[in-house]
Amino acid sequence: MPKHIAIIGGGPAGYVAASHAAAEGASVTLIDPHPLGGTCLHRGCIPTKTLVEICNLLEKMRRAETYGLRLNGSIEADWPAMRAKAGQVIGLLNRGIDGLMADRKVTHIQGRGCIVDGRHVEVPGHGMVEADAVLVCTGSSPIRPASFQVDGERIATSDDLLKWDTLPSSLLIVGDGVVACEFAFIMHALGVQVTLAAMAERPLPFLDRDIASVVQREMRKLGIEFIGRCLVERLDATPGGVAAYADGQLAATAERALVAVGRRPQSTGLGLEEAGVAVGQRGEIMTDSLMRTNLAGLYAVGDVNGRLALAHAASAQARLAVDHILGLDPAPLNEAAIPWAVFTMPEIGCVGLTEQDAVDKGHVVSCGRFDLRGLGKAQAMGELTGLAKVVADRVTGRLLGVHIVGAHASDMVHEAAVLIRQGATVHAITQTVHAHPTLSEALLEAAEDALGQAVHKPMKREKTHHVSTLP
Amino acid sequence: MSAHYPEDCLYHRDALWLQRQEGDEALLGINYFAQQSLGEVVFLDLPRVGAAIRRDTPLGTIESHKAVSDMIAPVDGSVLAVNPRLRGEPGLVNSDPYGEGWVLRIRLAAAAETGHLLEAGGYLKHIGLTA
Repeated sequence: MPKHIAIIGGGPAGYVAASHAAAEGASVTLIDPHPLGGTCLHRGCIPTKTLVEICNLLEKMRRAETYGLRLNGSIEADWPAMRAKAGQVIGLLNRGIDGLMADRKVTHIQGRGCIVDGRHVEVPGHGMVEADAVLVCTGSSPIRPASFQVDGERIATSDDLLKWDTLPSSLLIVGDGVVACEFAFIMHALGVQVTLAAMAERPLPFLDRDIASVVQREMRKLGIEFIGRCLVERLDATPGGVAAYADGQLAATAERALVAVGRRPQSTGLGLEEAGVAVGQRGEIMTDSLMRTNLAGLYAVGDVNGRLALAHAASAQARLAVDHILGLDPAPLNEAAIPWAVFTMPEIGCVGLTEQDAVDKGHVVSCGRFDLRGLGKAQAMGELTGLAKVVADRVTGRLLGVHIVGAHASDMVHEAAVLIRQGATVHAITQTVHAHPTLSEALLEAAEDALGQAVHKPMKREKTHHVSTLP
Repeated sequence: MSAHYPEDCLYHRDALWLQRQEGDEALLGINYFAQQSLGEVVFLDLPRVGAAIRRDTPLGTIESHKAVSDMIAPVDGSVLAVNPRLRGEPGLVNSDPYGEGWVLRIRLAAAAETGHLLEAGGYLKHIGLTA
């Protein structure tokens, strides 16, 4: 008798769990009132990346002359058409997921699941689902602070912004994280005057400082204003637009505002309290390293467990939980080797420790850096802005972190993710021949720089700063 | 060569020149050798008016097709003005490094020292252009 797994929520945690479990021979019931794909597909990664891609093309077309191309006629961004393009991509991928589920004979119940215990889910209108284990994969939703008059139109979250029919002339973005920064570049490319107001001193404060500095410099270059150390207490709709207040004073105004101050685990309305499931202060369902909750049979996977708010982490946790349910004895995830991708312009890919984190953990570090503009490929592409940075332990040579900002950074980071997961040294990069001309050569050069001297960097006059003690 | 290094400027070992103005004011810019090494300058990321600058620490960055470099402050001081033309015409740093391409006007800090700065001849020696 195959095991039966019930899954609540069909995003990158839930549908991946369903696909993987079914492929491993389990019978699966997937419960979600909405089309499958979750926030990632419908309101997050996919529509925003479609927009970023369009904006990258737009910016490149604006520079057409620098490539020796003459455009006859003007380029105009057509917001409704761009939204339609995103809708097309969403539709295609959604049908793909439906196809996968049908192929694996996953039962999709379009309803809201309510947890009874670790073996039972009540779905109003559909009855009780009985299973050997239950996965909660309900994701997260944008935080809406009570003192912000979020109306979806003038003061919006990212969910609302993607539904706007028109764009404002100016936009105030409250926040300094991934969503805030990605939308800052998108909206700027579309001709919106953008101001960010944020608590942190710099954008993307959780990233390596050198990488965040490049993003901040790009913002200054473009005229995107970043007001740091600004704790917005109140955000009001006014006759002319919006007004943000910090320290009791007017801090910024704009035609509209985007509230991007983080996301909260979506754990209400699931019957968690009644079932006795342990939930943390942010609403996150508490889990162990195998994604088990305190209730036997009940697992929580993805944003709802508050561990890592990343779609790909959710999918990895999903496979892990399913393997555990099926008795396949999986090893816990190495969370330190999970890469990050941020789609600012240019984009970011990073994995492992930042330089500061590494120092805080007691490592004596050696860092190598290489500007992407030093590469033939970057020059040929006309994509000059970018930096690759390698953080290594100076004593053991172990690769601790890799941080890249620049064109295709999110695609380049996986070489480093493999090495960090394997516990490799920085020599694993320098001893690997990198194809020429590619952007990946930046990682090779940064690794060489960490070891002392990159081939395409000026000679260092003082070598004492850098690793000579590595094996 | 020395025509590229005006005698009325002082030179920091890194890349900036300093020219004393009335009172405690001075102009800063990128010297000939540095702008030539960088190639075509495309962007300068500069401090705001009122910001303090500290000797031997980065005050901003200069970006060319070839490189992004820190601009190292030659002295302690505070920023009085930023050359407004550089935003739209960063290439002035290449075409007229000691004139239209000036970068910052500063007020020297009360205790600012300039003894460590080189005169034109000394700077030429520093970059290896004279014996």
